[in-house]
Amino acid sequence: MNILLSLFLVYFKIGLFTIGGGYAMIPLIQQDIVNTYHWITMDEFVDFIAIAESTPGPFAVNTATFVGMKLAGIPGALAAVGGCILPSFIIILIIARWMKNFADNKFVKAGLYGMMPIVVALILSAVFILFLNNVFRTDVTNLTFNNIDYKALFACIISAFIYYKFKINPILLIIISAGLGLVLYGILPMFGF
Amino acid sequence: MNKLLDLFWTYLKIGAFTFGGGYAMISLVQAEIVDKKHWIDQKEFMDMIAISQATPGVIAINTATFVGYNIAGFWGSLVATLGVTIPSFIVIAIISQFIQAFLALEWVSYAFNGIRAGIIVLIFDAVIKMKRSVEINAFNIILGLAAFFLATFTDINVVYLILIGGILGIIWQIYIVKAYAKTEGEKK
Repeated sequence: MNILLSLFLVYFKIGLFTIGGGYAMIPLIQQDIVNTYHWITMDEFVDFIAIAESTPGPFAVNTATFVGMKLAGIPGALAAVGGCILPSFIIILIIARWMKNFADNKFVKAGLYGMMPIVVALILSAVFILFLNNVFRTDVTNLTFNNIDYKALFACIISAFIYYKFKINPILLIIISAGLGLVLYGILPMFGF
Repeated sequence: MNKLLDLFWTYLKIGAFTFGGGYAMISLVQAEIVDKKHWIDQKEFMDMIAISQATPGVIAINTATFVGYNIAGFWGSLVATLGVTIPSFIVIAIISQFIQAFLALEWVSYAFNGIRAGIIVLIFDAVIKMKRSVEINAFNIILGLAAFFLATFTDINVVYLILIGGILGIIWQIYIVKAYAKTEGEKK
């Protein structure tokens, strides 16, 4: 299939099933864009999240632009962003025009009630997979303890400690963890670690 | 016409200056559109936010479309949505021209090795915060655990899991919880 059409359709699906905020996209992107289509690698995905977090604008638009640009330049980015925002746009127009009491509908409320724990669990699963990929350098199906990246594990623990201890904002955490990466992977090897 | 331009410009600013997506945008939108411009009142705004969160899609886009529509109809929703999207699009389109070469630099790759750890912590924290909006009961815990294990250890399509959650939510809330409440009521 044409790459622009594929990008548009995959992002349309992602936009449609993003329920409860930008991070709800992460499991969907991981499944389709990383695992099914291999458009980006798991590491690239995390790098894109980092850049999307440190640049202004909606997280969804940022990551869609990235993936689209990587695959097919400006047309690719337009297809991905268009696909990602169109479900929102259409659904909200319908609601605003004809269904003002959409959020009070008992079926909508009950459906969301069942979807929320699933969405939370899916994001948790996605971050668990990212963690395994980062620390064990493997996926969950062939987990071995042979090539654990202890520095990555250390970086995760220290980042979590600093984030929760000092309640810093996300961008500051990204800057601090970048410094941690420079020390662990750049400076320590100079001293034989 | 003037209102459309104004709406576009307002959302362009919001898109260019908010970090962290839809939720971070809410206070900025409120300051501009409710407090400064008085296009809509506080209650209308809160209703729109509630609906945007309870609707599939990107929250930032949902709110922009909704607010835009209420202020200036279809064209209002279009200019607000484009306004909030364009700054991100331009910034990332420019960055992505350089990013591959940038990430290939040895020391930058070291920094990103560390940044990945920070991102994992941030996403984990978002999960913890979302969990607060989910009631802790047997239904939610079983559903959540099942979804976690299926998504982590099988190839099941996550979209199916979300849809199944919606169906089970309707069955549980409307046909079981209500029916139970009714029989309890009859006993008294």
